Amino acid sequence: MRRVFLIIRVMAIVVVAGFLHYVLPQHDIARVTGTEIIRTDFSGLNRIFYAQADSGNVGSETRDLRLINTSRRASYLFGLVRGGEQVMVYRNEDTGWIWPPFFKFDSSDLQAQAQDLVSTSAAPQWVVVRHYGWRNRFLTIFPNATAMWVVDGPDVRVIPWFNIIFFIFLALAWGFIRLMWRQFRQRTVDPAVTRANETWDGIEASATTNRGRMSRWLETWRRK
Amino acid sequence: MALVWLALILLVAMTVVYVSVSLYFRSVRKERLENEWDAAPPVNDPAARTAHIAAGMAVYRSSLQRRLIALVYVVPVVIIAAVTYVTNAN
Repeated sequence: MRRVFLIIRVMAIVVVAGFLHYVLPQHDIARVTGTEIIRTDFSGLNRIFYAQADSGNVGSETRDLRLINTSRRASYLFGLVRGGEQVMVYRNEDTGWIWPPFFKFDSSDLQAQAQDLVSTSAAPQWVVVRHYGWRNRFLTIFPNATAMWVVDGPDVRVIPWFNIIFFIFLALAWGFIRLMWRQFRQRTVDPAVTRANETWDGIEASATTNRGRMSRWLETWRRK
Repeated sequence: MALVWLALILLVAMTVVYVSVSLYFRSVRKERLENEWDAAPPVNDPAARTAHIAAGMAVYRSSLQRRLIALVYVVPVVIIAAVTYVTNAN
């Protein structure tokens, strides 16, 4: 039984970590090699990995998708190499107002910027690409580029300020919720249980000698 | 239309946060007042204890701390405005 709970817990952690890895912004050092626009017909399988139509437009089954082709430097996650030097294709879509909350409306501007930054391997122009999402060839999904800026060389290290602040906030919020829950238990739940026990014991005392069964049963639910 | 949805979702979520946070701070304040009284009761009179707690809670209701809880409505809007600006500014 304990093993089952362990498996459930590990699965929950994997799902949450995967979700955060998908949604939180990351930075790649890359060289833009070109841009293109392809018509895309989403399937039920990969639809959730794409945003909606540009924020001023109406959505339909099929639409054009802006892509930014790059050659990317090795990227890291917690100091571990995640992918070596490789080509990487980013999509460039408005996230709009709802999800994920990047509030990006300037896809066309970003595309224009990317076209301006195209360079060759002989005379490379390195840029940082801020993006979220995953590249998966079997599902045909691309990370969504949200911003791009020029850097001096390929060995720049970008400090993920947003993620640092986000995780600090998450830890504080978690601690605060625990405090609130403890206060709620101590001040509202426990007195109510005590009152219920007293009432129940009063009823039971006259009917049977088996006193306090309810309170003993409740006792098994309390944290020891 | 999406903006209306965002406003609605935020309003509901922030109201949940606002209600739970204000209940929590009120409960903490009340507990502190009770403990204060119980540690050194000036008179042994339950009515005086109730009055002491009621007076303390009245002070809390008009305090700045309670009013600051309304920031849970303001801060997310400010953050969204800032993120929108930073993402889309050229």
